[in-house]
Amino acid sequence: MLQYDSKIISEIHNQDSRGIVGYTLGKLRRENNKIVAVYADVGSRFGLIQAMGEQGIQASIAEQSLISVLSGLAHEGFIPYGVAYAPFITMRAADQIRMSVGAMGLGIKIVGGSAGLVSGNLGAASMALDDIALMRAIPNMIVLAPADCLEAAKMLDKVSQIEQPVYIRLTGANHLSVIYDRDFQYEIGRSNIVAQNGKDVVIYAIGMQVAASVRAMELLKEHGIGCIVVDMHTIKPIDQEILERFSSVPLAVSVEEHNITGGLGSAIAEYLSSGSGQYLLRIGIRDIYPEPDSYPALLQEYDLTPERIAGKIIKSLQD
Amino acid sequence: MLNENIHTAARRMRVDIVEMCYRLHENAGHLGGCMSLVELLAVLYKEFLHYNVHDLVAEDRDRIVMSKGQGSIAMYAAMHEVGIVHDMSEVGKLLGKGNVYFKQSVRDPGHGIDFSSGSLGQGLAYAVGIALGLRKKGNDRSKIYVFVGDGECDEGSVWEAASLAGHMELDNIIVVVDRNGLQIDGYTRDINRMDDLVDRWKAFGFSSMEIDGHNIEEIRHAYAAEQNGKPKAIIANTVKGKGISFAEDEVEWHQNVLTDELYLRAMEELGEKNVTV
Repeated sequence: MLQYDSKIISEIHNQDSRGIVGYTLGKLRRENNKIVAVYADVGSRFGLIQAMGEQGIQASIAEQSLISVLSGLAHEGFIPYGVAYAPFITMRAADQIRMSVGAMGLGIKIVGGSAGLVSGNLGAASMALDDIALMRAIPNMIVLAPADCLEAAKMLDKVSQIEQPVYIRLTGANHLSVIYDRDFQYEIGRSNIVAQNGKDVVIYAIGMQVAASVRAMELLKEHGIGCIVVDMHTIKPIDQEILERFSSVPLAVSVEEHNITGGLGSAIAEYLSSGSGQYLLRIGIRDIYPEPDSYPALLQEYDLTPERIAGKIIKSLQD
Repeated sequence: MLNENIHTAARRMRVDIVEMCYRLHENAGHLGGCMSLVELLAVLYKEFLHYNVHDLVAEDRDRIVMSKGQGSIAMYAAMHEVGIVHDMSEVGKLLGKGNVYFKQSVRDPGHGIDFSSGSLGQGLAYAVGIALGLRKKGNDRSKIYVFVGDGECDEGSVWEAASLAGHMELDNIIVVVDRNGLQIDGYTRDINRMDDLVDRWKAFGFSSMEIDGHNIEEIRHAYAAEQNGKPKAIIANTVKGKGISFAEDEVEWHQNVLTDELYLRAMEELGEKNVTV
């Protein structure tokens, strides 16, 4: 467990969405020699090569093998983190994950970088818009998505202390918005209310969309609509307590850089279907692979900017 | 150890395999691909493998990765032969809740099973992870034996992992390719010909050799061969269904139902007397 003093927190917030992995694991591995990081030709991008030293392993551009290598290391008592780009470490290696985690029950930690739309200029191949759906379907898997660098560091730290398998999904690039500016208690499965100015709408968001949702909340205020914004950093197991607590709010909204099928929205809908009948507006990618485009353009296209999120919510309330 | 002892062990293992396949009834065991492995496993478990029946998770034990899941039952027969499995009743029906031993292995280190099989092409990369873990722990004694099928070598992930193992010079890994020449759709030579398997493994940085996988002396020699800082690949030419006349080199015995009649016939061929159904 790292000490999160103000100096460290400031260093953490100076990282980008990839560098935070090397920064954090590099500190953790000094406290625990069982921690190893295996990376698929992304060691430099994620700041792992120098940070991990002897506890880093280059697996080459071979994500399927990387997952099996993690499993072999876990079998020998290590705490292995696998790091690669999200689409390749999940979809490409899905069978290896199914066998390692589902069939063998090994507690490997999978870190998928550049998830969502951030690498959209590279085309559909590089957009992880189905990773949550895949990982959620693996028995026993914990699925996490941090809203900023401090939360990412806390997740990477926390999961080294639990035996279960974990998938951590990182969105965004650099100059990330800060949601948590000071130390806080991070708990898997317990979501955080990060902003509130009323009770007309509850917005459940993950990753970079937490910051976008907070800004949408400010825009909605101008229309006399009050919101609660929740950072749903744990997609599995979903925080049923908070869903129950806000089940009488007139409108629930999910916001994610993921297909609206199988992701956060689906996880919430599964819970809501068993009781409250609360209306859920799911904002995300509408079951297609987008054309290659810049990150801002894709966010605009799929209603993932503060203005678009606010607009969708206003329309939904009018309907 | 005398060859005679291995032949005796191999015969008993074949009896066990027939028994286990028979217990599976309509759930059909992988008779063919188990029979081809018998001598390879008999020599390994009886003469080379380091294990402690009283402490199956001992750090300095050798690890077994049965990547070709269809060989799991043959592995249990070998485990029975050396007393890791005390009694065939422990194996049960190879199905259902509460069982430990299944038609295709499910990882359970406490029972001597290091790997969950069933999805081909994953065992070697898993062994790479084990090998790296052993290195980091300073364990230079344990070896990792990985059994793959020749049909399994169709999977790209086998070669992805082979490349890593060769690059990392993981000289604690021994891959045994059970080249029985058959897969579900027929002869491997017709499906994805790999006449040059020895050279292929060599090209990936392995020291590799070809043997008769039913010849005790050749198997012994291959296991004993120096690795010279490299992982080792033993290409073992075998006969699928070996030892059971109606199953030898027959594609339908990849996975098939042993009826009462065929069960009795198989047991008779193996020299078992007074077997009833």
